[in-house]
Amino acid sequence: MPKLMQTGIEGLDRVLCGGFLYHNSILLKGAPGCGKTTLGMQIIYNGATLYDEPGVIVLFEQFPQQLFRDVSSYGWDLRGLEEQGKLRVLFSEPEEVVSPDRMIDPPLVSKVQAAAYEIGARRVLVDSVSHILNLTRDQREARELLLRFINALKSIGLTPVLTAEAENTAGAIGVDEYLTDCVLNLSSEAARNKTFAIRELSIRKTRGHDHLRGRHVFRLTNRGVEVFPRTPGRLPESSVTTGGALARLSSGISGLDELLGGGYTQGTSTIIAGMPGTFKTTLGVQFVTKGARSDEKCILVSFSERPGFLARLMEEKGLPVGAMVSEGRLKILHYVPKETFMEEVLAHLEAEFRAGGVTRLTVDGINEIERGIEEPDAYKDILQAFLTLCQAYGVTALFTQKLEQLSGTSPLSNINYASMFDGIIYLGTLEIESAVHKVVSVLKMRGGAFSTDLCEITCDSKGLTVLDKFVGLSGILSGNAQGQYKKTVEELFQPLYFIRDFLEMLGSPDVDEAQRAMIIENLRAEANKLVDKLKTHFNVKQ
Amino acid sequence: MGKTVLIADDNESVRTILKLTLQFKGYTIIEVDDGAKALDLLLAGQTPVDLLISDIAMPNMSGLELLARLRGEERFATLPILICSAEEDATEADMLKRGASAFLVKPCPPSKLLDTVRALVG
Repeated sequence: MPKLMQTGIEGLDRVLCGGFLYHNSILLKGAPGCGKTTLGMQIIYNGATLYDEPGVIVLFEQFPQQLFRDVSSYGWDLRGLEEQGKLRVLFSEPEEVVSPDRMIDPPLVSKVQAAAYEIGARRVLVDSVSHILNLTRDQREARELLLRFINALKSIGLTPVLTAEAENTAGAIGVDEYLTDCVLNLSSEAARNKTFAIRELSIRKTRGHDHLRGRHVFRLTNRGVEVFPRTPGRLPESSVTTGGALARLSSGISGLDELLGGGYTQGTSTIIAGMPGTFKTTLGVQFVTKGARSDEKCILVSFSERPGFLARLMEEKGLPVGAMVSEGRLKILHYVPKETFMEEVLAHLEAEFRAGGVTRLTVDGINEIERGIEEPDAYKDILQAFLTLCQAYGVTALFTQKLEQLSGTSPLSNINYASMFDGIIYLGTLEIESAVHKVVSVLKMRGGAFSTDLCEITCDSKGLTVLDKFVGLSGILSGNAQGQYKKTVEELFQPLYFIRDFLEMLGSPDVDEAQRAMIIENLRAEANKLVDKLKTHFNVKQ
Repeated sequence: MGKTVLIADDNESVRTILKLTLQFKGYTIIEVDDGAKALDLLLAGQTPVDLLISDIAMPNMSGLELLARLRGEERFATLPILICSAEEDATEADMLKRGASAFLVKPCPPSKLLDTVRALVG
């Protein structure tokens, strides 16, 4: 495999399976304002600064001063690079690619050659070749002009990066696309669910090597172009899929680990689904703070609350989120769905996972992912990408999902794509003994036995606690759920069992008078206990 | 001479039932309300005990810990130990595996308790 010319844009190099082949001509094609020039500049700038490959920039539209000013907003000091002899910027007229004599190089080629030799350039950007094609209406002549120019640049030993305007006619293929080795199409369109335009990049061809198919989202940020590949790159073999019993990770919640059969199974993804106000976020945060307390590397992705506000909310529950973030034990990635592409979130997470050591992840509000996705059908794909990523890196993950209103016969039917998750925890409310209680139930947990009991869950200044289980439940999904604490029922029954036992003793033929009196005394005591308990339970004063 | 039974249970009513049931049949009863006290009493060795009846869920030391500690001592290796519990997770097979001599689910009728105790210590 020949050495590839990296662009230095991580996502783009992944899309290109490593980079471009040196001396291939690269065409960046798109409508005005979609980021062609910025991308081209970045390839040159990164070449000079990251790979010690000086570059030449040829401008037809812009004066160099204007360019220097514009790109300084990305933190790129082109003037400084020129002073260091790593860059030459040439302002030219398109006519300079026309040679008066076929035997003589066009003036622009001579200029580029001189600049390239001076600084040892490996890359050249021409912005844009549309000006060359517009020099003549004769297509054949235009084609020849451009081809000669590209070949001249290659013969100098440069890898040409060319920008070009997209054709006005949809689906039309320009002559420039035939003449170049690699074509990147860039587009920018208003997005339905976003506050900004959606920018996408696709590769029409890369002669001589492979690339990732499909359209890949990109952004213009204050660091330049960031590309988020549609599919994750090569993922490692999951460390937890090979041999041995799967370890359990504590939920950090007293009582919940018992329901889970010891904790969450390592490397699995669990969905925490529930109505608003049923402690979904707290449960997710308590999971990552539990890991952070043990110096595990944990990440919290929040699609709703801002980190500062979230930290304040959690600190009231005894979860020192703010301190953990400051100490670097917990990382919070906050995204506003309307301003974010999920590919971007996935790319950030993958970078974190690749850096190593991440054990726990909580994604708070996956229902927000659905809102942030342009095509509704893509939700499942994105969800799958999240799950695959976590599994590949052995990260144990929780995803919280808000349920608006329960319907159907089971909470499961209200969870989107429930079957994709290894574990499912349901959080809800229940009317018990004339009061509304929050409840938790584990509906699924791969990797071993777990309890399906429905238990009360409470929250105080020390976080969440799972309490006693309920019995005799009915109408959970009708909104009129009723039931009893198991403990209450047991306590009511206890004196009755004793009364039964004492009566059995009383019936025994070998009990003498003194013993009989003792039994009757105990019977009376148990009967009184029963009366007191029933009075308290049913709130009877008399 | 009557046998001595040590009862470890934190519920007073339960202890009363066990105590009366066994006392009526001539057993001598010592009662304690947690596992740690039962262990201290047995380790002190001042009162010979023929049978231990223990609950599982008790303060300070659970019945399971008490069982494990006693079975770890050579002199208590053959002491009959009857575990009585209302815990849903507790099973006879598990208790026997842990070293118990017998297991009863609470609440247990006095007649069944007597039958079990007789089978263990006569």
